[in-house]
Amino acid sequence: MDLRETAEQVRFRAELRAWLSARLPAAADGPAPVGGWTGPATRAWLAELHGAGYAGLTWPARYGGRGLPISFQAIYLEEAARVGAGEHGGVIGLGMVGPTIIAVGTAGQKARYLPGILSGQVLFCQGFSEPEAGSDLAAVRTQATLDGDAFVVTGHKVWSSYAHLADRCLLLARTGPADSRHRGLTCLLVDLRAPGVTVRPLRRLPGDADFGEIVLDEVRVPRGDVLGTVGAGWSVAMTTLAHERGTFGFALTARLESQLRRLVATAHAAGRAGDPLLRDRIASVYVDLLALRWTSRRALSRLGACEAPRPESSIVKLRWSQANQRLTALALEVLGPDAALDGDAAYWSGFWQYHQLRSRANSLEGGTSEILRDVLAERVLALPRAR
Amino acid sequence: MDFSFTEEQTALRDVARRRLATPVPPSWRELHDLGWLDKDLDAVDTALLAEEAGRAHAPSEWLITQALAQDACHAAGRPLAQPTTLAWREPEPGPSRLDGPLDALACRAERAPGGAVRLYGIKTRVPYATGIEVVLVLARGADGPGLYRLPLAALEGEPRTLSGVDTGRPWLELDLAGVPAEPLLTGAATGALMRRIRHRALTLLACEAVGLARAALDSAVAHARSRSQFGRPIGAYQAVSHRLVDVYSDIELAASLAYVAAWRLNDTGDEDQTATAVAAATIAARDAALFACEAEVQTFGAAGFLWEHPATHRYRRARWISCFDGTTDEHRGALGTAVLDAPW
Repeated sequence: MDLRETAEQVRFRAELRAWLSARLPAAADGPAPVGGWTGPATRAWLAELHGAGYAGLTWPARYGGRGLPISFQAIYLEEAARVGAGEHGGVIGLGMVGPTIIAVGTAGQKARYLPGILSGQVLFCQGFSEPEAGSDLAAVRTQATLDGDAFVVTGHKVWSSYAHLADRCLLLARTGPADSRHRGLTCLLVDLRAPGVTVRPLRRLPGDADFGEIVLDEVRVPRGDVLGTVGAGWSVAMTTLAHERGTFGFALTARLESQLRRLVATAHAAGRAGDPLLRDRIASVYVDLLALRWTSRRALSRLGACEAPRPESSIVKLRWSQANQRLTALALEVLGPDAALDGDAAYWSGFWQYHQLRSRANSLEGGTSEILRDVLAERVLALPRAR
Repeated sequence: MDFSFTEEQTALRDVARRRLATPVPPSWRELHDLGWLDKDLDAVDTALLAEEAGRAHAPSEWLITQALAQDACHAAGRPLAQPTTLAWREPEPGPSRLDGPLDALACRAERAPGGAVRLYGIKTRVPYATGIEVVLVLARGADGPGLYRLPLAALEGEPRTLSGVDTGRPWLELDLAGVPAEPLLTGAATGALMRRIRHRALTLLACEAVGLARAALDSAVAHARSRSQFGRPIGAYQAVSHRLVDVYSDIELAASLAYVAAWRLNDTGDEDQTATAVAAATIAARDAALFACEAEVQTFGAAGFLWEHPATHRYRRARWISCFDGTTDEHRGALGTAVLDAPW
């Protein structure tokens, strides 16, 4: 056990920090811009990352990555979060779809999609949830029927982050009978510009529209765009979600740290830093932050290199969502009556209002807290199934 | 960065777990033979043993000795030969915490001309357990505050005992009244030593709390699997299972912090960083232990509320730990001050 970073890690972090701070103004304890990245900004940023060698850090070198251990990706996520560059439409391709293509894709799919994901030319979104298939993902109804050399796809996908910016969608569709549940599913790499595809933004509780719905009306998807095998969609989707939960903990924790720095700055600006009640509650959030950070690192040490994380890692997501909801609500309490303002009229142009409202999705996205608790109860504590 | 235990550490832990699971707890002599008193155990090794002691609800003389006497014995070049505790607290307005204030110290060590050093004054709330033979007494001597080694047998009569919320951990009250004692460590370094003892004691108690919480969770989970009501095992009800998952999450987070704090103890470099790590571990581990024990009682229902049930004694131990050298709120307040006032 040695909790110090290696010389190589220290050097990587220092170089990355210098590179990032030359490109993005340090937002360490000031407000970061609220709301989404545009498509061109996302692509330009990915191209810059790629040019500097910071895209696909953990991807094998033969697919254009750097073949580094996950700990370097964790450092990247921490440093990106410090300067507010952690969350953008490119992360779905780089962090989830790309690794899934590497794991189960054909040689042709790898050659066709991986370079574009790395360089920002191809932006992916994910089409899993449906109006009638939320937590119960095996209830997916979007139908894909083989017709000659293509699947004809009809259905309705919702809550798809960055769908309005994306070129392609990793879509989970039903190729088996209606009651085949998780056995009759197939993953498809769908071109969102194809005839029959409609993408509509969905405006959310904080007022932004960083996710959308995708309506598919007899969209023809070539057979060559099946990812994995026909009928194996469930395990492909689980591979994708495992990658989401793997290093995501580091991004979440790093963002929590940035937000705590901003909360401390806000408390000083509001003249509340001496309030003992506030000190107590800030200490609680700080304990959560340290606990999440070290638990992510402990899980990483147990994980070794690039395996799927074990169910234990769900606790980081579960507890991060609570901590972030508590932190942002605390920030609004620090603002006092001014928390009722928003937009330009508000402190930091409504930064805290946006993030507090946005935080309510934290316990929904990427697995609701109820589902995560069910998973932990069954797979880690070995309690009898609830359903 | 490597947050994993060595093979030697996992072996030490596994042997401890197996040994402590047997009905008769190890004697002091056996602890010695097992290597649990070796001077080359580092803080992470000791932390893992403290966690196992917590899991097994082991007798307390080993933990008290490791938590409160090891640093002083090590600094004085002495082996941990006998079960030993520490007397630092005095009645108002004397020092209450391990880290002082030392200028409030009223107990005195006086050397008679050509004779022995004798101690005077009252020490209170001295952690005690069956088997403890020696007390290290914090007192003011000719060259300032220091630690004096006092065999309990040297006291006239039995010392007064105060009942503890943990029945295995009563408290002693000592009226020193001129009892002879041996100077162990005196002089200017005493303040730094007492701060180091405080960090070590809080960390090992956090580890013990984590182990205790794990035992409470294991026991509650086993019961939730086997106990049926309304035709189903109660663990199939989410009201039961989700609470146990929350306990599990609390424990895993607290364990990470407790191991980090132990690792920081090995490195005497940055005292502020150590203080932060120790405070975070203390807060998280205490809250996790109380929550785990409360969930255990709740899962067992009225059966868990009986004096004979192990849940009762785990919960009492968690309560004892939770107000050791500062309430959890006091630790939280100090940490909040550090976060708000210092750059981090």
